[in-house]
Amino acid sequence: MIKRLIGIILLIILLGIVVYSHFYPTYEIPEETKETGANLPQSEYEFYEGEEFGRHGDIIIREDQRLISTYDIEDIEIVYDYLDPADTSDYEDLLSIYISYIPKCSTQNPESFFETNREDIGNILGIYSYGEFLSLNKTLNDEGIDKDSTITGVKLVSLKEDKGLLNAHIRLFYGEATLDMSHRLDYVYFGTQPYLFIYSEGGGV
Amino acid sequence: MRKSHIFALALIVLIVAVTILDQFTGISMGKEEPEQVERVSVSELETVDSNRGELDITYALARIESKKSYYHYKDINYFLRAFFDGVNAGEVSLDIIDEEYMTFMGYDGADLLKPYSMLEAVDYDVTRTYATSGKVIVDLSYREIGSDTRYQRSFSIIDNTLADRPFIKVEEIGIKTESDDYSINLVSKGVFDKYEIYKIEIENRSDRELIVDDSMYGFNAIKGDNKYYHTLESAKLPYEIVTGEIRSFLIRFDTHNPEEIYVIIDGEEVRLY
Repeated sequence: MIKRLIGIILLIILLGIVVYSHFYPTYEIPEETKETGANLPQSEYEFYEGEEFGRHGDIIIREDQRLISTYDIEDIEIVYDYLDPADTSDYEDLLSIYISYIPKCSTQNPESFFETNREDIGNILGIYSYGEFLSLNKTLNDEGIDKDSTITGVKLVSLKEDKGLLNAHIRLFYGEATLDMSHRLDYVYFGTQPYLFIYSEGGGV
Repeated sequence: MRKSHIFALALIVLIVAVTILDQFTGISMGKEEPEQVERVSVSELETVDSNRGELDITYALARIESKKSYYHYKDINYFLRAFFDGVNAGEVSLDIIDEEYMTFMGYDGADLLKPYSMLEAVDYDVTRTYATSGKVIVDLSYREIGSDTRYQRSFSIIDNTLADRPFIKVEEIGIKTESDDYSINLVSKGVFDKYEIYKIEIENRSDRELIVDDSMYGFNAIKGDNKYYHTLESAKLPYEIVTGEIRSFLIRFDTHNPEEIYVIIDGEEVRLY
């Protein structure tokens, strides 16, 4: 009698475990999904006086503290006709950040990705609507570029001035795959300081 | 071993097997993994340029972000550029214009182009931005490309749309002043950064033409010891209202929340508010 009771209790415990494991999954939601809003770096860099890196003297980073921070852009000298050296450096910075972010947009879940990252997508790519983002996402997927694709080359194909704006055409190489993108460079004064902005043109050329 | 023991043992083995399968293969009934939403941290954009090795983009980011309010200005400029692109193309997309503002002003797309009708291609610089009442007001100077003559204008950015004036909001009023000859409805007011525009409808109920004083005194307002005279914001209208007509006026006073508002109609000053 006691043995039967023990058997029944064991069965009930096991059934309980099965039911519990069905309704309460054990895997954890990835940390990233818990974040909301922008996560742009603020002051996580160490700045030292003395050896100066970069322009304007506004940021001082000890040279041995850094790795290369911009892509080697073929034919970048095209911009010399339009931008002075300081603005060319800005453009290289902006373009490198832009290029780095593009493969991340190859997500298979574009709508959720756009909603989660829309602030950064606007900040970095200058894309503000889901339709434009979807166009870029489709182009990336059509070209077989995914978030882990490694850039093997960057070429500034052309730069044309139109009513005070510069329309740029760049070609990105990911091994065999290439991606043609166009963007506008907008140079506007806010107060006494000039600002250079990149805005994507509909996720393609 | 009894049959019942064998059955119980087999049942236990089956349950354990299902539990293991359930945990390790994800085969389950009604249990789905939560949707994976990728959050790309911009600070982790270190990447590889096969020509140059490892890149650390955070330094490029740091240099860009060291410019005051860089991304905030980029957002603002997106709407301004879209607007002036439209001006230069001869058609402004109404998708970027605040709907409440357009409705209140009674504007259509052509009205947005009027201030620039004499200019060939327009470019601009932002002279100042500031926040007021939850809206971003943008003062800018614009000019025809190649010209040294500059013009000033203020815009506002409202919930991812733009108004080509420093517009803040519309407030409904709905105060009527009536007589045998007319009905005057103080319908609503548009609140702007440094002034207000009142929408006033006057219905002529008489059998003769009513005349509103067309001088600056025709509509006036009082606040404290100060008196404010109007400017007409709607398209140039005759101030005469024929029998049965309802005429809508957009009247601007360069103050906020005046205590009294008057109209001079048929030579008589009538208090509306």
